[in-house]
Amino acid sequence: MVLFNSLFFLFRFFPIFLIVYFITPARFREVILFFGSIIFYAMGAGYMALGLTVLTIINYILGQMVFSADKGGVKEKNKRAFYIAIFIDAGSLILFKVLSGLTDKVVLPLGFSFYLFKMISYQADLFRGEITRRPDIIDTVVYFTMFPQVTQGPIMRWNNVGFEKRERTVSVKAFNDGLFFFVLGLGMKVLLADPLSTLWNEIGKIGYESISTPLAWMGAVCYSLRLYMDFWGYSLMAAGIGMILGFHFVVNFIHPYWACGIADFYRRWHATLGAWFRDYIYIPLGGSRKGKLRTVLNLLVVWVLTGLWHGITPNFLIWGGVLAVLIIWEKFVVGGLISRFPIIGHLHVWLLIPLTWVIFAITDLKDLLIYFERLFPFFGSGINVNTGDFMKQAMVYWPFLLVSLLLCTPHWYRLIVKNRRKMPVILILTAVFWISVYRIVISASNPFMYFSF
Amino acid sequence: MRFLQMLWKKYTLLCILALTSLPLTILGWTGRSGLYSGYEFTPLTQPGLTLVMEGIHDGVYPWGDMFKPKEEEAEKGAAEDSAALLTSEGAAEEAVSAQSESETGTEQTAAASTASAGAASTASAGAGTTAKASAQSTTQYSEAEDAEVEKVETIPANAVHGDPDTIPDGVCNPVMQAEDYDVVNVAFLSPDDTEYNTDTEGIFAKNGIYFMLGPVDETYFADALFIGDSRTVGLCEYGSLKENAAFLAKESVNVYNVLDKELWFTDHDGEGWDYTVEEALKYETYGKVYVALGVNELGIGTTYMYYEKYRELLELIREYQPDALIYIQGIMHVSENKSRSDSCRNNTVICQRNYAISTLANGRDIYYIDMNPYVCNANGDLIEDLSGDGIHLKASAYERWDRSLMENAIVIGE
Repeated sequence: MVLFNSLFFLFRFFPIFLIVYFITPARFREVILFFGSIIFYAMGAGYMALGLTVLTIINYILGQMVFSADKGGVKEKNKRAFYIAIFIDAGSLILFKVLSGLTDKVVLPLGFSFYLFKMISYQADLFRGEITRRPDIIDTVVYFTMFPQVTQGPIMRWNNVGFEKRERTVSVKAFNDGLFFFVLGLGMKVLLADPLSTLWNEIGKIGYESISTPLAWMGAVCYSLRLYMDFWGYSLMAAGIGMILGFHFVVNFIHPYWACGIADFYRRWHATLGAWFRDYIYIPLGGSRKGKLRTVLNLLVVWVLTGLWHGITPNFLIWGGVLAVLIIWEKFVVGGLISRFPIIGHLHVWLLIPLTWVIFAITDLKDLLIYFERLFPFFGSGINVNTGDFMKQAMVYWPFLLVSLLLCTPHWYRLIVKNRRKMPVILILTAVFWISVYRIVISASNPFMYFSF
Repeated sequence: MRFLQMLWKKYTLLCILALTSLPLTILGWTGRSGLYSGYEFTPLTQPGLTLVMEGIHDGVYPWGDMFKPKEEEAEKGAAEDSAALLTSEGAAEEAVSAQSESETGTEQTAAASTASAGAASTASAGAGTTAKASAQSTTQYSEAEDAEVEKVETIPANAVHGDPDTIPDGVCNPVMQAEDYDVVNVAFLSPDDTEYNTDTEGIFAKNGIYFMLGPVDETYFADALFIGDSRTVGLCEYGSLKENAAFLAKESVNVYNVLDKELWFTDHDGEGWDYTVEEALKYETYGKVYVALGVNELGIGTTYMYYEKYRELLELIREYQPDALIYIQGIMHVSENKSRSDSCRNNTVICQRNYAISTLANGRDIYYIDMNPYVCNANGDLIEDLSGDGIHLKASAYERWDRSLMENAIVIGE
């Protein structure tokens, strides 16, 4: 897999691609982007690139049949093509998810969950008439395959990044901003998420049954921050690359840990995925317009599916289920209280979200139970617990935890973004870039760095 | 000029990044066959500036070569002086060490490129040749240096350890076997006629006392020092011996760097501070010194180089602690998943290295003990449930290591 935070991408693929992209006349740039993306994907996924190409072409052909020029009614012919498309897209996604979950022999193709969601939304948007201009082949293939998003999202929608009106503009401002977000994301990923991963691994190394309760809580916070820095960092890098190439910025994280309540958290966390489930599952099912019982049912369906989308081991099912219950609880029981005392909503986020991430992180149910016993030690006692373990890890990891926590508040991030064209911020970013590269170099030449015993 | 000004004004961040990468790249490229010749460099996937960064990480600074020529000249002079005394031996030694370096390269590349047994065995055959060559050279060297020293004895690696003639009947051979669990056959372990140099002159303490393996309680460890890597850190933190023994351990140490680093020292009373190996050995007199090193260097060097460095460490311990029993602890195996997925850190290599260091034991005051039967399944893989990462014991499993130490201690057999 070619990661954005790899030397090959930073110093070989991306600069060469950019040079080729910008010396090509504007009207042929999509073609360059398509071929660059296929090369990028093939370098990570090998012959699976063929699968991506085939799915792309099938979706283009079916999409042409689904698209109806006249606004009025949907014809039978369009309907049939739409169902076939959904059958193929959703079917292959479910098939691969189940097979890869059940056997070791089948591997989920790189980025499969992401680009198939894009394909489904494309067909649905065409079917509903939300795409008004007939998509041409080059726009379609670029939309499905573009390398900033093909492996880990964000799940960009046709309409909100400038495909609809073909409004793609390469500008000095967008280029600089794109570079800014890319470097910022790189720093989050390499300088914060990666060290925090080491702390989380350290806890696994000790064994959950032997960690002290303070360390168990630090672990929950650490994992919550790690996931955030990793995914937000990645999303910023992807959005930054998109901007450099002339696309709009794709918003995927809106300070989720500053949210007021669980439901609010998931409007801000991986927002493109949440919006996808809202627009293509929740609302078609009736949303909250068909009575309390249906709303509850719809929320359960959406969250169980969200859980399964992340993985088909039981812990993801529990994770989705717990979130559904929490959101229903907020919506129908404490909703009024939260709007009067927002602090209750914040406390929900700060206390409950880390606990749900623990369910997300630990795939083995037996281990999960043990971890919760350590979080709440009145349910059982640990084995051979070293009470000094919290201080030992805290002494090493406090700077990473602290900076990540600061970035959870909108204020710091906004301050940096507001001053992004000022010299001090530029210099800080330069430092962030080179320290990140240094870390990448050291870990690449020493692949066992994270396993230095 | 105008254009550049415009460029700077418009694309400040890009310009700064480009300007800073330029000198680094130039330094990397110009030094690639000089200062950085030791580093792997594939320009197709890797920018030149990575060399500079790897250098900085290893303490090789770009400005270092400004001072280097002087040192080199001095070294050269010294080398010439000694060449007069050593005549051809010195050159032979150099040639061998150069060869052994290149062998390391082969082993690492082979191991990295494929995990297949075939490639691994080729590499190890290479290691074997080097080992032999190097062993012979050492022999020659000591002969040349001191004609009075009798001819160094070398025995085949698969010979019985200890000295059967001097151990009285009824005293069991106190050296544990390095188990191969059938994952490594003997032919693979010691390709053809590999010989491990057993010249342990100077390592021996007094003669005439014989020991045997037997069970002991915690008090046995009251005068023990444990030296090791993160695994020993775990033993100190989660084992039951922390109230008795002294520990000197740190994450990521290996036989190559253990003498240069400051390690975390915890004395018998549980107080701790930073100490080098030498300082800790000078600090007090120990009855037993336990060494457990070997997992961090699995990807570094050949088995023979590892063996040689291990031996140097033992010699240092003996120098400061002439009366201590030295325990060589066999490297604990890794889990099956880890072993299968890792071309360097696998149990085949571990068995090979354990076999090599077990030959350093002499059955009189240096012993080889092996904890693997306590933590491995029948195939010799670390039991998955005992480890969170496939390499370290979980806190709850250190009790097994404790047990292996207490059941396999050396006691005096009169």
